[in-house]
Amino acid sequence: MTDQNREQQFIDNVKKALDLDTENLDPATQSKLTHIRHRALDAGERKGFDIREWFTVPVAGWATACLLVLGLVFYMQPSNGTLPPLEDIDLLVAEDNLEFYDGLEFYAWLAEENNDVAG
Amino acid sequence: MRMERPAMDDFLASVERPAFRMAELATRNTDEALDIVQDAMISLVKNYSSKPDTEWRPLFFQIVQNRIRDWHRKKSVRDRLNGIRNLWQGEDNEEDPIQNLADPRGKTPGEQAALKDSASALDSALKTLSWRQQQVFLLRAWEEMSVAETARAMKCSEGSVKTHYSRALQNLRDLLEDHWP
Repeated sequence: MTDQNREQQFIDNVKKALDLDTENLDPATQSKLTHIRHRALDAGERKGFDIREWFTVPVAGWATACLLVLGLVFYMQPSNGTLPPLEDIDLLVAEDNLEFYDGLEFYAWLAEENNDVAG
Repeated sequence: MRMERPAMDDFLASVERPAFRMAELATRNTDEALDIVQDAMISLVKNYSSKPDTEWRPLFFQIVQNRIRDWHRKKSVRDRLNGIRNLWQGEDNEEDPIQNLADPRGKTPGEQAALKDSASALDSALKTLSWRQQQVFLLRAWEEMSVAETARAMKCSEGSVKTHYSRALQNLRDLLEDHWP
């Protein structure tokens, strides 16, 4: 047997011994390895989920969602005094009516004047 | 691109034991070896699962070797700090220096006793190698990786791989000649 053959035979023996060694791994260690593997796969799937969600939702869908959110935010924002709240509108309208009735005599006189000029 | 869980599961199942054994031999610590395997698996799945499955094996063992190298780097710093602390505290080395003295062929009395069967003999013999020689030998002989793949995994030149492999093989043959002449 040549030295090269002896070397190859030696390596084959080493491989067999290492394979046998790992095949006969104690159950506790094997169980830990299985647990580790499943945890790694779960971590990979969580990461894959995020990427997919971000890149597969249509752009139009995202735009619509953003507009809805913006609209909702503006609608829910409390008034800062620049615009009257809805319940004040009636009062404002009523105030206009009072002014109108206060100047009713003036409007009657103005109408008569206009009729005289026309007549 | 979505990870093919069954394919990745099969692949990881096929490499978990050799990777664990390599890490265990390098660290001589079961828990550290499990941590290394876990880190390597998570890194492969998160960063390289979209690569063709033919590339997973060299990539996985490259990550394992990176983790082993990091572990040795940290251990080296820890050992130095402990050495300084022991020097400062004036502690004596309680280990028997005769026990640790290796003979020219690397067989200490402790190792001789361990050479009772081929598997434990191989285990003991592998532990006498430097971790780089040991890992190069395992990648080349056991995982049958090419010189180029091994060099990439070990982050060294192909010439270094050949040198480490040749020395590892010679040392192992010397140590195990009673078992596998």
